[in-house]
Amino acid sequence: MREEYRLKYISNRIFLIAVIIFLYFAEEAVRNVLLELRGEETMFRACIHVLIALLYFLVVWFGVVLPYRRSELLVRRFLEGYLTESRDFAEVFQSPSMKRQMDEIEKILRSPKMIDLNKRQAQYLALQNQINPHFLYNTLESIRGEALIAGLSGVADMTEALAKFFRYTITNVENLVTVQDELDNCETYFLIQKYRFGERLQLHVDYDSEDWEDIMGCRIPKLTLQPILENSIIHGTELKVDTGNLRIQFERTQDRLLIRISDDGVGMDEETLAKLNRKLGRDGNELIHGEERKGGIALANVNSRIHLLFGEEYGLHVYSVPQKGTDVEVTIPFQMD
Amino acid sequence: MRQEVFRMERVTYLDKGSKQLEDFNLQIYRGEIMGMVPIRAHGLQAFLQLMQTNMPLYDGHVYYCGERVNSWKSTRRSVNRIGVIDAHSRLVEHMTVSDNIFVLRQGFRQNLIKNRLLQRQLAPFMEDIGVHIPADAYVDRLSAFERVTVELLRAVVAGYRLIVLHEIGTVINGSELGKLYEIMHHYAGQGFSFLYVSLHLEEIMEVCDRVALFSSGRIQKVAGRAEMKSEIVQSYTIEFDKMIRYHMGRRSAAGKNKKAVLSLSHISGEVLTDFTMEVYEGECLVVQNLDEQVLRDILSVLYGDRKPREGKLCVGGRPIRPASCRDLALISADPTRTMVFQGMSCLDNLCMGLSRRVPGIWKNTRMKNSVKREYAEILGEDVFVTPVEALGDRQRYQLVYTRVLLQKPKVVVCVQPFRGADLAHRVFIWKMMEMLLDRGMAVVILTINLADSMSLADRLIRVGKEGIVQEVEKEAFGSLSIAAPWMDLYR
Repeated sequence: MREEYRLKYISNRIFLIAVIIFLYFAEEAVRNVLLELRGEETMFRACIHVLIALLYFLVVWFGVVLPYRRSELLVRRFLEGYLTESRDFAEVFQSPSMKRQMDEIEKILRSPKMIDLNKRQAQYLALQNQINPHFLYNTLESIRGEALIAGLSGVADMTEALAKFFRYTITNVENLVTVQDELDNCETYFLIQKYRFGERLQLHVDYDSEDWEDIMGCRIPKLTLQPILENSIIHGTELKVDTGNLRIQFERTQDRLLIRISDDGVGMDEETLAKLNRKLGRDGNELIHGEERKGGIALANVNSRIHLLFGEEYGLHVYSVPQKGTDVEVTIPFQMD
Repeated sequence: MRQEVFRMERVTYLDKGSKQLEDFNLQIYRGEIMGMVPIRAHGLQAFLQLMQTNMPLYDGHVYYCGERVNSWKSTRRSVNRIGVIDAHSRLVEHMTVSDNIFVLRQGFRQNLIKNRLLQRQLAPFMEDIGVHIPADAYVDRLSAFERVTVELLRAVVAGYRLIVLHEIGTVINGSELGKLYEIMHHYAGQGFSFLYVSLHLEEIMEVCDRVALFSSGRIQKVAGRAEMKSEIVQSYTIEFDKMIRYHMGRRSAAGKNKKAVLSLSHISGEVLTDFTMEVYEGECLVVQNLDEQVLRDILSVLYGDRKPREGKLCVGGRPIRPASCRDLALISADPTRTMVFQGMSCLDNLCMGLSRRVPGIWKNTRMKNSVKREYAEILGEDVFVTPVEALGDRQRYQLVYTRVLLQKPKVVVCVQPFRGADLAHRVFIWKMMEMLLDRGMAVVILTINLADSMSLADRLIRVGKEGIVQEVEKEAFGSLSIAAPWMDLYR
């Protein structure tokens, strides 16, 4: 017998009892109908028995079986890694203590600690070789000063951009920033990369001019765009021989902000893409089972933070065509200060 | 600010345990004509079904008009007010245009139907789009274009905010498609949204604002109007185009033989009058039917369903009865469904092509084994040990075309061979037809859309209700206005 059908589980025992009671009512109903046909029982009594059997079935089916099934589905999905919320269980809690248990789990998963942990990881990712920030700023300023004295304006600009990038990444501690801030940081990051790639790398920003102000004022999690842009350069355009084009497109709908970061780099095959999107859909795996992240760390991190802050309806989705390029679509609820 | 009319967010949908959609993301905006090219069509039907009906999802959410209508957490099994128009009519036959548009509409409360009032109500809609279809005309008498227009009007009147047009190019000819695009743009301007599903990127580039590339239950890429012409989107059709360019060069070197193998003389049917055509040995003739009813008339003659009012059908110069003539083979539209017999083994399915030539084939195990050995090269060994029900679409196409090969007819008539086939299958069907031509058979392609068929053609005839409207030899193909990237080879 399959594990889920075994009688060691209380639910199966209850189900068995319910079926036995139903069979009893059904047998009574059939017997009374037959007796009525033979004229040994009144029509009224036969109808009552049929009605009781039907009513019992409907009550058990809609009041117990279907809610139980839904509750089971939600728990199974939670174990698969999907982030369910306590309110999803609102109509299907099996007992008050189970409700409390779910509330507690949700509290832990959505605690500021968890969000902070993810943010820290993002900072760490942005600064793989993190060193004391003050020491870093001072050193960079010194280099800039030396460069200016020596008339090396290129080196001075580059150093300034690097210092600006580090300052934004490390010192701003709030969770949400404006799109304008994020875009500025992306441009700083891009400027640094330009020193390395020269004209081989181009950045384009597209938007609807009517919505520009609204879009720039929209609040999004800090370090959302830069890690994706970095990913596009490292895994997309860097591996390409020709000029690499990066495009950031903003689109606003009635309740959401869509940001698409595209590259025309090497793309990825269908299997890798499917795996990546699956991973982005089930980031609960990591929170619940403590699964280690293997590959696509930056995207998974950004996605986790968006899920934790705004819910699982928002997040990242990746489109890719091998040898042609990759698009990462970020969906965030539209909210301003 | 754009308004979303429809959105699927990370939808994974299973049907009987098989994954139809996986991490499927798509959004359609208000007043937008969105295109969709099925590169691999697996899951496309499930997607269209899910748009209309909120079936239980494995994962993800569906939103329509700003409201969440389906979610993996809870399914209402309700129906979304989204209209779908495809090759098959969804109108109620034997009822008039106005009945279909107004009376069958949800919420129509009048007990007494006032036809004149309905006609008056319909008139402004018709004027609006510049089409004149009589309100009291019965829908089974309408041409394909009129039928599609009526279905579109029905959706508009019913207040559907999103209308899906699925492979409409297979039932409407080029000039009518242009008119349909005008109507779509007109309603898009009024805030209606469209999803235009077509295998032909050329069609989509003509009418759509954005295109989504659908492949095996996923969206691989969404491209805007500017990106549609880019290499990324074009690369999907490039393989097909390259192959056609290569083979066209080869076929143009083939000689012409002017001996007629199939002739239809002075055929008249329900709408068709005095239609005469001849097909020559080894040639590929494309017959474009400018009207769907004309196609039905020609088919009923070829299938022998109905005796034509006038005229006769000859193969090899002799009048024939189509049902018993082995020199004439017909491959019907959607052959993977209509021409593969369930419950029979693959070998028996294959041997049906031989049954007229060798009457005792069913008991002749030696011959059957010999057929198996010979055709295993084309079909592969696996096909013979796989139940017919478990065969994939590709294997089914192979089985049907190989059966015709075994029959060795003089002429093969293919009815809309590319209809319903995705990009990968189109390449395959094309190769199978080329194989028939290489074996010296004449191939007649009955079609409405020319885009794919013309690549094989030696001659084109256009047929209307009054018979042949235009005949074009290969040398003059360059003058045709067909939206296909390889047409420049003819020019």
